Amino acid sequence: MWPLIQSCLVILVAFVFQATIVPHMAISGAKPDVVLIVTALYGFTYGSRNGMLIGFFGGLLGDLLAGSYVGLGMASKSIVGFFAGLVQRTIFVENLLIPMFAIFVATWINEFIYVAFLFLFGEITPVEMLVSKIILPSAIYNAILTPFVYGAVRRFMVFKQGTPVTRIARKYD
Amino acid sequence: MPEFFSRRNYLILFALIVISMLILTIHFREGENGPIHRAERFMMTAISPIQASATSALTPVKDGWDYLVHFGNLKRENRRLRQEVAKLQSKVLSLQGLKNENSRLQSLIGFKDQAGYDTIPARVTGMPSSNWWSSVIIDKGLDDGIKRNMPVIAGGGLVGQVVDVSQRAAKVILLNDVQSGVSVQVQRTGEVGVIKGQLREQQLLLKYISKDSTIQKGDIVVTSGLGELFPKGIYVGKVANVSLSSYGLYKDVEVDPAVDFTNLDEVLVVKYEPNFSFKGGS
Repeated sequence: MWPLIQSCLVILVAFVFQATIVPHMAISGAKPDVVLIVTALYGFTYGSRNGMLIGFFGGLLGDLLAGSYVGLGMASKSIVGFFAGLVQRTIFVENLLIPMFAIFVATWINEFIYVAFLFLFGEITPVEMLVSKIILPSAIYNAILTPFVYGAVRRFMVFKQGTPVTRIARKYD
Repeated sequence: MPEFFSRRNYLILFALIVISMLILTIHFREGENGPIHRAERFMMTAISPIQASATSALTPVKDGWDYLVHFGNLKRENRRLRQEVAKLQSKVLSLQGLKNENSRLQSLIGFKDQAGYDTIPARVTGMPSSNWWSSVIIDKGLDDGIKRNMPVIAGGGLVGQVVDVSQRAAKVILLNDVQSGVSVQVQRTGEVGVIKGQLREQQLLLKYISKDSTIQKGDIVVTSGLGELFPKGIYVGKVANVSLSSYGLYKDVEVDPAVDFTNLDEVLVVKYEPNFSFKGGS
């Protein structure tokens, strides 16, 4: 249970960082999404289940503070955590370029869920504009920040791969 | 990759998405005092002091950086502003005469001055943390007399509207948020349209201006007062660009807002209570 609580604390710290420091780190209006990076890192390291749960919790925090649609961030980050888990154990090799690229892709997935939702609600901003002004800059920014975020959170990634949720789940199998 | 084939993971993902959509629906349908709105207010109250501290700590660093980066521009801008001040001073003097004449005439016809609402000054403590939504947190709340739906101005122009209030903090949705929509009037022509944000763009979109309109670059846009959500006559911005699409019924009009939404430090909350209530949902 403790590792799971520790993971929630890590995502809580990431959220506080996102809410307080990240707005001051905007470059031409583009802001990184630290909660998304941490979610994907947990997915890459511990698999889909952990990624989804961490993403769900992180998305909830973000939605409650800034989201106009509470629930959208929860869904999008759960999906990102899930997909990140699908490539579990193939990502973390010595070369950090691979997780950077994976976070780049994860950002596109996350942002396209937002785009789809906004289109459902009648927002008709051209996709090219969304890609050039929001999605691409954020994806690049997130990718660049990945080594730093990984360096900060890896000391808290204390439990072995496949635990704890998998272990708990196995108990009930 | 054994997890790839794990059916349980798909079920968990499905369950999480269903829960998220349920929360989304409840958030839309519940009233201001519903559990999710209360949770939002709790979060705002909890995070607002940390945001205020971070903003105070980072502002000197940001200012120093801006100074270094924009030093050349600042000198040029200073020179330009001095010239502009000189021009404006002479304009103010001539307008003063017009104002006096106007008040004399108004008193003659018994016109009731609707402007001049009281304002509450507030400091912006939290800037938007997401790329998709534009809202800020201010350091004043219910304890200071702030209420939901009150308009917020800065530098003489409309900034947005209070959408959520806790005891000591409030959330303000900015004009450039994609969800925002304000009824406005073009001062010169008197036409009414709706001003909308366009996803992080500084410029705003003025919609529903007829193809036959004589609207032109430089026209002043103010709030129309229709719907009574905002008082009439708050300055919104100037028309920056007018174009006509081949098939549309309306002109495409872009408006330069009066305020820089990326650089808000202090704002004024107008003590105006709309004659409008959000019953049931938000």
